[in-house]
Amino acid sequence: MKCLTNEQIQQLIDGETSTVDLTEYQQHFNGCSHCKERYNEQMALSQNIKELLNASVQSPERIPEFRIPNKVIKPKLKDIRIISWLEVAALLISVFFVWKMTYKPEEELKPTAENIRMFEKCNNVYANTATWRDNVIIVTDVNGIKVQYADK
Amino acid sequence: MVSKFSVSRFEAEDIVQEVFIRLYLQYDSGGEVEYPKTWLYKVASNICINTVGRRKQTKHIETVNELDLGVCDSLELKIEEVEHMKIIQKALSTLKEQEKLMVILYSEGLSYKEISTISGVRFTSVSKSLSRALEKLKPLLKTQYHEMLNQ
Repeated sequence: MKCLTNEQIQQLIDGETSTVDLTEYQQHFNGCSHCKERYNEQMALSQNIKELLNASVQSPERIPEFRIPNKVIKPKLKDIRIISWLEVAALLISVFFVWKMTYKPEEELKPTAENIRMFEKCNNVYANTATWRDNVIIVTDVNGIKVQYADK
Repeated sequence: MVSKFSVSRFEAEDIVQEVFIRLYLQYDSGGEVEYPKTWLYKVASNICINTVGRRKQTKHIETVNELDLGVCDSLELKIEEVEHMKIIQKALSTLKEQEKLMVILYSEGLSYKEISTISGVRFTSVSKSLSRALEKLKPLLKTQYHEMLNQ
């Protein structure tokens, strides 16, 4: 077997080598003092860097305290139900009043016989003919001008 | 992990807070986090990289020394911590962003799979990239220590 690469040695140090490779490497170490020396060196370097980096870590100034309450008072379910029903009732009443105040029913159209006759007359007339004018008599009296239909 | 990126204690506190707010929002919006550990590391590392990157673009008028603020507990600890930080941060600053992240994650004791997920490096390349990054740090740390001892 060839000498181990730095990559293989690093994997070995970090325990990332497969079981098959591990036995192969161990056999190689038994016969190669150079690789064993490199392994020891790289191991020492890795550990030193780890230690140095971890030593540079500052401990936190303070860890926030979390106070767990000793006794938790749960709200009574019965009270909650009454309150919620009252709230719903109040809401419904207020909605009803608002609706009552704002709602205005549409006025029902009740045309008189005169209105209907007038409507029919106006709609049956062609705009370009003088027929309509001929059928109308304009009467003036003390109350003002009145329109009267000839056929009336 | 956050304090290993050259961020101050105050920045680190803000970042950690930001990470947990994002986690809360993630759950609150109905999202799922399959692996919370890697999710937290990933979000934290992204915020750290952004914070450090943003800092490079801005100029500080005055740098507040944490020693002056009396943040650490004892004087000995203060000096030791600060010296350690200086050495390692100086060495780490020479690495590429991704290498730096990998070394930091490695120091956290994460597995190659986790490192791969968080850093975005292919799983098969983790050991190679990691051994290279550690090799790069080796001479840097040696010279740093010598400089410190000579002083």
